[in-house]
Amino acid sequence: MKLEKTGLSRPLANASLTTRFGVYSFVCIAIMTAVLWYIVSRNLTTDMLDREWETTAKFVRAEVEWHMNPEDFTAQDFGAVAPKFEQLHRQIIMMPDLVRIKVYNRQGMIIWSDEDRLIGTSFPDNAELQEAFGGRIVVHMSPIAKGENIYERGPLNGLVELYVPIFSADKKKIIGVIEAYKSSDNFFKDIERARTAVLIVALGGGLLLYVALFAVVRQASRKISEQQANLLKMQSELVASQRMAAVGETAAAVAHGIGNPLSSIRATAQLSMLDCGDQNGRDLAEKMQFNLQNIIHQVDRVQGRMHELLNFVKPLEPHPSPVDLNSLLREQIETLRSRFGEAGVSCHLRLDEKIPKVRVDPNHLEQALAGLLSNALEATPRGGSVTVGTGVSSPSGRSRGVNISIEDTGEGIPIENRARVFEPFFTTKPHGTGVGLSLTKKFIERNGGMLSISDGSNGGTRMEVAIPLT
Amino acid sequence: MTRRILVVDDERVFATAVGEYLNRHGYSTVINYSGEQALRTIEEEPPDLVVLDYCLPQMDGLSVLRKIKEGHPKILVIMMTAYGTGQAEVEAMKLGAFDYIYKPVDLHALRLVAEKAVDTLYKPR
Repeated sequence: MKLEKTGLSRPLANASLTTRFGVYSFVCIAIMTAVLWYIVSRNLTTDMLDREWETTAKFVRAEVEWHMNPEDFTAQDFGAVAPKFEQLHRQIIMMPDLVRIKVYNRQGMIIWSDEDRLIGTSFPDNAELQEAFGGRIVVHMSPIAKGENIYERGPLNGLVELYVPIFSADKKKIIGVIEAYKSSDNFFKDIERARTAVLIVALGGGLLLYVALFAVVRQASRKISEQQANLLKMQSELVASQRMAAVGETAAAVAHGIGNPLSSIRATAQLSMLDCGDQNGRDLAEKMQFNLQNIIHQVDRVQGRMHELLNFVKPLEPHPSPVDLNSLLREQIETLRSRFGEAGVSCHLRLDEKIPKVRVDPNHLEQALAGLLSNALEATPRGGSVTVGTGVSSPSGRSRGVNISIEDTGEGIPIENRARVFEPFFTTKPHGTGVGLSLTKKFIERNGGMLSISDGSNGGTRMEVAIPLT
Repeated sequence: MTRRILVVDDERVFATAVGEYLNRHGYSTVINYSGEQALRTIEEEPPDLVVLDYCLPQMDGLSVLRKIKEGHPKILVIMMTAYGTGQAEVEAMKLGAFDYIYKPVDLHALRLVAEKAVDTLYKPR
């Protein structure tokens, strides 16, 4: 059966680089830390144990050499050698945690123990003892279940058996084995502490590694995202500028193509109007004058559009100088006063007289504000109002600037059109070119400002121009 | 004294209309449809004022203006441009044009500029 590539089979396929790295590296580092901990703690335990047994065995042998003769291990009369073994025992148990010893002769019989009941017994099935007779020090953990340890159960839990072979003087023969019981509790506690320390170090190291790698990858990922965003922005700017260039060419061609005929139409019409004065029939003259006046008017309209289009594609190099925005606004509103009157729209000013001057190109700002005011006026029905305000934004903040707001009481702009109103050639007006608002935006942005659109407080549209104070 | 105005534009209907309009307002006008033709006219019978289109076939308006100013610096020239790019106007003024006017030309406005130009001829330079 073919496996589909579903979200379940590849749960991280669509996750971000950081998330994927976070998960994968966490798993890897966790495994690595666990393996590291296991290996180090195992080696440490083995080393500690080996050293421990070796030291104990050396100590036992040294004591045997000091206190005992080889014959003591072969004596048939256990009672006769018992005092010497007792002496040995007293010395040996001076070693920390050593609790009991058993002395075996070569036949595997216990010839002395601090537990009297064991003397004379033998345990042939004791594999560790047999191994010790082979000449090796043998260690056996958890030995309590063994038959020979019948008397070590109960109070002496957690013992380790250590079988130390005892050699003859020439070191060629094994004459007996001393089995020492060591309480492992303290010792294993030491080991456990060491293991815990290793675990903490391993976990700490793993965590440090994880955090460091994660931080590096996250930084790299951010950088990549930033670069991608920049690339996209550059691409879209490139596309926009190419489109602009194409529009520019078209506009220049249109201007050239229709400019000359328009000149002719206009000149002829003007000449005809001059002729009208010479006509005898007054009615005819009036009619002709009316029509010709219309021709001139239409030509001027086409001319206006053409200029608008050309202005749009013309590179706008701002020539900034300190500008008082309040005065500029007042001038523009004064220019439009008659149009406001004709439309039956009132204009309210809420200007903050304390705003500082801004450094912008006065001509650019004038055109932008004229466009915005004219738009607001056109959007407002008879009886409505346009409110114009100025103010300082974030007076104490770093992005200190001057704001201009123009709010109308029209129908507002539907949300779906909002993103598009600044696009060139987008219009909802029956006779609009769609150039006005995008040109306004361009004028403002070229002067370092920003133009934004939002809902007006009375249902209309609020346009806001923000100009930074540099 | 009737002032002589030379109108130079390859748009024949327009050039004729301009000539006619100025004629009716008391000027003597000559109409040429190319820069080369205009330069010949100037050599034969220099006008007081030239109304010159910026965009002409073969020899463009600025080149014609340059030639006029080289040979006859006293002849006044009004340039006409189809649309304002800023550059052309600056260039024309640098080369010594009296003024410039945008197309489609308001003949009345053109006449006023022409009058103003002609007025300067009465004053000592």
